[in-house]
Amino acid sequence: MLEVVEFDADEGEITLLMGPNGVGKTILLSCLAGGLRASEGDISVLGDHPEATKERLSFMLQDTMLVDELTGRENVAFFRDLHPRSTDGVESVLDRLDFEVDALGQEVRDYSGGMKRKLELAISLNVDAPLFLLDEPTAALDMTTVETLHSLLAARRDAGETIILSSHLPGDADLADRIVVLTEDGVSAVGSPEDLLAEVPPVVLVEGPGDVSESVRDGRLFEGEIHRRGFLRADRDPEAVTDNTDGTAIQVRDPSYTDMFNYYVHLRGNQ
Amino acid sequence: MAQRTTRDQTESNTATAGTGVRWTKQTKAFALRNLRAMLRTKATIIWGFGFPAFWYILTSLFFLPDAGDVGAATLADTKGATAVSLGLFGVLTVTLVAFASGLGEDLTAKRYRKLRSLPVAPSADFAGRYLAGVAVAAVSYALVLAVGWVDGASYTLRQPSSVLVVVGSFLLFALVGTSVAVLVIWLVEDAEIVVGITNAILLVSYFLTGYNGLVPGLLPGDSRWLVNVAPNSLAARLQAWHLTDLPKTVPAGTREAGLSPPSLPVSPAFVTLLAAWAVVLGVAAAVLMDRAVYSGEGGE
Repeated sequence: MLEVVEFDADEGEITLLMGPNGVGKTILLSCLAGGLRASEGDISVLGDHPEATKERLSFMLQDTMLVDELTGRENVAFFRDLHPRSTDGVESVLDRLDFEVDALGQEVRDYSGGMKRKLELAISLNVDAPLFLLDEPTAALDMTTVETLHSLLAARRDAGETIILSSHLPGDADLADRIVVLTEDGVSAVGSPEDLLAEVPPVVLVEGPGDVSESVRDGRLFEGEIHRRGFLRADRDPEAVTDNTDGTAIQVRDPSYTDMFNYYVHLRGNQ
Repeated sequence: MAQRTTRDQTESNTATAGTGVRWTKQTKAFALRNLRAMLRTKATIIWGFGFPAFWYILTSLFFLPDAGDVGAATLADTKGATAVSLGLFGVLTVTLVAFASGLGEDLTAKRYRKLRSLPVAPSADFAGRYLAGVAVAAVSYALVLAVGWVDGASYTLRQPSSVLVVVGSFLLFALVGTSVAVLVIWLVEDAEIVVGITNAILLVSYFLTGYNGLVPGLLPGDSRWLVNVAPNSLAARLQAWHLTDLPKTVPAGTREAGLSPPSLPVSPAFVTLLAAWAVVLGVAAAVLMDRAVYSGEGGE
């Protein structure tokens, strides 16, 4: 669980909380939303205590909002009646997310994971609020819908709304203006995706039995489907690393967002 | 200055009216949500609707006297009183067990992390759940009375005010059930354990009060006063008196039907006693909904 967290999220920006499973992203968002209380410290949301900002925010909490025995439409009506700034835009959001509106008449217990996520998103975005807190909104969504959601959230950001979302999917980094990387020790990095990516060392991709641990930072290689990946040490020449004769294929590449995640969570996070 | 005061007053009145509208809307939201969820849950259908009616049939078949022993009229009234007793058993099943189960599931599923993030009035949550419980309980209650009627039970409103007493005691007893459910939830948040505990309360209260006060003779002589004090048997005996034409010679006639001693709680003081139960428990439950579930971190 998070021990120390300190970061600012600017208004009119999309802030992405990235971190491994179980690090406390949902807990942190719940604290910001007023659904949980921090055991210590202060939280300021829109300049106020979370308790005072409930009418000015909307919180999407994955997998816990919907009641299975109710239809999608009945779940929508329930939350619409609870928030005084609800609007009537659920169906247009669902349409954008490629959700068959006819399915609103079915009980939620018959929905797939992706349909539930889309409905939770539509309910949460169906509020005229300056701040949206979204807990893993892209989990369980197909790539096309993820792209659509990115576009939808970017439009809201452009309209001046502030969005804080959590994710452990590197692809969501594209959407963010600012990334906050969380580890069990707290915040390991804060910055724009470009700045954070620029700080990540070149990546060593290893395919085969060769030992390159002395060429990568902390001697650590991350297992992948095809390659093992590590981060090139600052004092190593890339050409010298890739030049080997034992049949192991070694490449040095620019880092991706997946590498950025591994770097800030598993290397920088441990320092 | 006077103008400003007037405008402030107007804004204050508007805000108050807005708060009232919002509270009503939120109460309706919780009521509809829980009503629908309960009616679509098999457990409610089986235990809330089916079981009390089934139990009435069993009681009528195996435990009630023959008409030849007590007379047809008394038997019809006794069946009526039995139906009332088991009808209120159904009311408690719904308002205590089903209510606690629903609230427990919301807590266990961490749904209150989301609900607490909304500007929800805790009293609207409680009131909505209560109204849903009342609606489902009314169906359960009416079903048992209907089965009793088919079986030959006789119902008669004893006096014009009996309508008020019956409806009022039903609502008060439903409030007692929902309030006890909140208290149990406060003590044990886990939904599965809550169902076990509330079922135990339901059965123990029924048997310890002589089948909801219908057969006080099951209690030791010096404990029979309990049936006119415990809320479940008090409500059942109040309603039995006001809904049937049991012989008016109290307690002699009711003794014939097995309902006394003690005498039936026919005076207004007993309605007040039931109201006191409901108010005390209801206030405690409303405070707990606020402090433990909303202001606290219920479900965590």
